[in-house]
Amino acid sequence: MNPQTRQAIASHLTSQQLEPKEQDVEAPATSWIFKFAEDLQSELFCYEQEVGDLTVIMLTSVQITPNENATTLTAALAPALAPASIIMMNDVLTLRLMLRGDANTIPSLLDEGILVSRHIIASVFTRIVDLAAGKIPMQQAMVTAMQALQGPAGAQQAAPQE
Amino acid sequence: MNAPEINEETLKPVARRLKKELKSLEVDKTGVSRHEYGIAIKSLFTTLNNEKATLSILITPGVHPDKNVNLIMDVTLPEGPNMEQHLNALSAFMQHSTALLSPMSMLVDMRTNQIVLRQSQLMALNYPITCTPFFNAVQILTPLIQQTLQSIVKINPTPEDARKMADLLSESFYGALSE
Repeated sequence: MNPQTRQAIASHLTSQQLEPKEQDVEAPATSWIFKFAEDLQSELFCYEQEVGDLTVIMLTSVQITPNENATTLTAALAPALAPASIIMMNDVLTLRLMLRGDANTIPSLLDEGILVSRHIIASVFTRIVDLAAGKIPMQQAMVTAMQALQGPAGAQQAAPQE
Repeated sequence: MNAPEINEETLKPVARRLKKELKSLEVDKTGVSRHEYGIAIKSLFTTLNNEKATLSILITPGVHPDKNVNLIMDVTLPEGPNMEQHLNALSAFMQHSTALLSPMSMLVDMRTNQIVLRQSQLMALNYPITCTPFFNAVQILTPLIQQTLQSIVKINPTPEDARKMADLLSESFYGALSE
């Protein structure tokens, strides 16, 4: 990865107090783990095939009780979450978001990506986890997740100060 | 999520670039439409097994609309078998495939019961986006997915077996890519 891009990502995460730590991964990827929320971390996998063409995959995962109904709800909610994707595999529920830009644009993309991901995790993940744990039925999980996703506490209102 | 106000002028160059690229691919026809939420591009194309499918690209402003844009590329596969009786197996297959085929996602359109392959991203307005790699990947995947859906209907697998079918699908896909 171009040193300028590497620097842009690491210093932006640091400036936002997200405590990035670079991880060892197989080339050509470069990877960081950072503090996404008080008790949640995210991973970034970054690829820059040529200068100016940067792809970052952001993954944020939570533990969940394995449950086929929760997998079905996850699949049903998935179309509503673009540009993010949601994936339930075994006991892990993951939000995946692809960011594309360059060294200059990645700070704004990271801010926006984190904002969008936080909104989806707060509104949708909680309901899927509750369904998987048997705390709420499928229909209620689906309806409350969609309401929270579209609700007034949307991403715009929570936008960080620039 | 509330949609930011649309400044169509900032989205237009992205739409123009993609429309031009679609012309160079062998799609049957392409239409562009403006909506309150953004710009949509729709193309009809013929799959390698000679069926009609739709490619839809939606371009909407990001939370910071002067800098970022959401791009969602969807291919709706030709109509397949009715999967209603196999929802858990279908969900397990789609979710497992979404993990293995990253950055693509496999979804179902609940209204039409059709499978959708999606690649979506949040990108800088000036990012040199191209839809050809996604289009080519979809061309390889479509017949493989169609075969798998037929198998799910025929053998009514457990969700765990449906996940193994996703493993086989991705192995075939990556095998075909490396040929």
